[in-house]
Amino acid sequence: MKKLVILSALVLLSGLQVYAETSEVIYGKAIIEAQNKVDEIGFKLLNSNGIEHRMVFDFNTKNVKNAYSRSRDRQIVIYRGLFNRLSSDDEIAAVLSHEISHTVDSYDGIFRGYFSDWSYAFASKKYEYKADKKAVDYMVNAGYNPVAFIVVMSKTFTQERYDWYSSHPLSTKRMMEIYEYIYNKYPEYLVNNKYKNDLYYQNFLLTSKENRAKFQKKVESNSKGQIKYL
Amino acid sequence: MKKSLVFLCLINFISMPAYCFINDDFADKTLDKSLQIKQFKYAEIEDTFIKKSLNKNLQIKEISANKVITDAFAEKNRAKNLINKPAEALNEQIPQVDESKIIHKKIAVIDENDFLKIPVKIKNDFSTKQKVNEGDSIEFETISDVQIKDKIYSRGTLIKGKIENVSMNDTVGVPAHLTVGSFFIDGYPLQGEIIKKGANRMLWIYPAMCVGNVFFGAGLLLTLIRGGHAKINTDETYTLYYKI
Repeated sequence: MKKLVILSALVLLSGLQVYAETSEVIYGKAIIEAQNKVDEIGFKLLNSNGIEHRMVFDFNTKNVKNAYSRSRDRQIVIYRGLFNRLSSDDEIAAVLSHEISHTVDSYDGIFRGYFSDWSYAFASKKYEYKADKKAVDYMVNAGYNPVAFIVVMSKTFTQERYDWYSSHPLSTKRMMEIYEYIYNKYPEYLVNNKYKNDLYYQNFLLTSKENRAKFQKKVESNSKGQIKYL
Repeated sequence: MKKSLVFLCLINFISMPAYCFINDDFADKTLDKSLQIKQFKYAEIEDTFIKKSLNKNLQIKEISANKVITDAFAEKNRAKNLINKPAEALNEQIPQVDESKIIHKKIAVIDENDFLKIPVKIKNDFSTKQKVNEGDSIEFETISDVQIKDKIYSRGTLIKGKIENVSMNDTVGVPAHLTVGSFFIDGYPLQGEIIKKGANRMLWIYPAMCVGNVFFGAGLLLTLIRGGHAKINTDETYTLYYKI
């Protein structure tokens, strides 16, 4: 009987240990794989666009749905919470391209861009639009599909009530600005739109009806004015 | 001993995930069992405007997966080192070059990436002071003769560019930003972009504002000062690239 008890206890304990080790190994591997993926896409974007400023990429395991550019040491951080929501290289490239654009701006100005954060602090929305458009260019030059940027926004970006108190413009406005930019500069991606039937792109089409009607009116009337998207 | 066994069994049971199925007896009893779920058909939302307004033959350009960045300086030095080989190695037969087969490009200056460099300047001074919109066209001209596909474009040939991104100057000294791209010469697309930025007055406005605020918030008046306009002047030259 004693032997039986000891055997049962051993089986139980060894099982638990194996489980613990395995989950740790799997988790560790997943982190390495994620970091490698971020590095691969990030450096491909830098090289393909001939960006002559140094920056590195960090995959952070915190379950936060965000990514940011740290101007102090030129590091682009993408959190697990956001990374896990991205389902293709195009989508990862979209997030990284946007942050790369901010990091490039951080080199701008005196003392190696020491005061660049001030510019951002006083006109953050302007820099966000600029980074979005630049991100589209970066993606296309590196062989990624820029429509994925709209997909990422549609899937993960929240929608504030108003943007006057926020550092970022409303997501609906940003998506439309990106859509307009792609329409004008890279229309081939909308003609051969591989995300046409994507669930999140479809939702963009659904929720942007009014904004797209405004844009359509602008194109048809050949007007050049800036549209005030909602 | 028995107690220990029971204890172990209990631990095993506890550690097992427990799934309880709760039946909806009322629904089972009252609803018609022949009811079927209707075949779900996803209603696709179409962007009809894209279909209507864009050319269907547009194709996505193939972009090579990995752009190779070459170190021209190292390559040059490596070639030099090869020349400094030991004497016996230099006795190799030097292949004769048939001069007639060398094509001398007349004007083109080719860089290491097979791009034809085209120096340009703007036709008229440009500033974000005037009403500027994204998509507006800006005219540039070549400042030397260039040859593209056996055709020579003389100095002063028109090059059209487009304003791709513009953000106006703002209060607190925020400067204007301007990006010009999508250049064309006689229908041929050119690569390269011109990025200009106005004077960033924020760098002195912000500290002055902080100091001024000590005197009854007087520094707040400084926030009304706007940043500089982005300008492109006729005396500035830029390089655009034509992919050969």
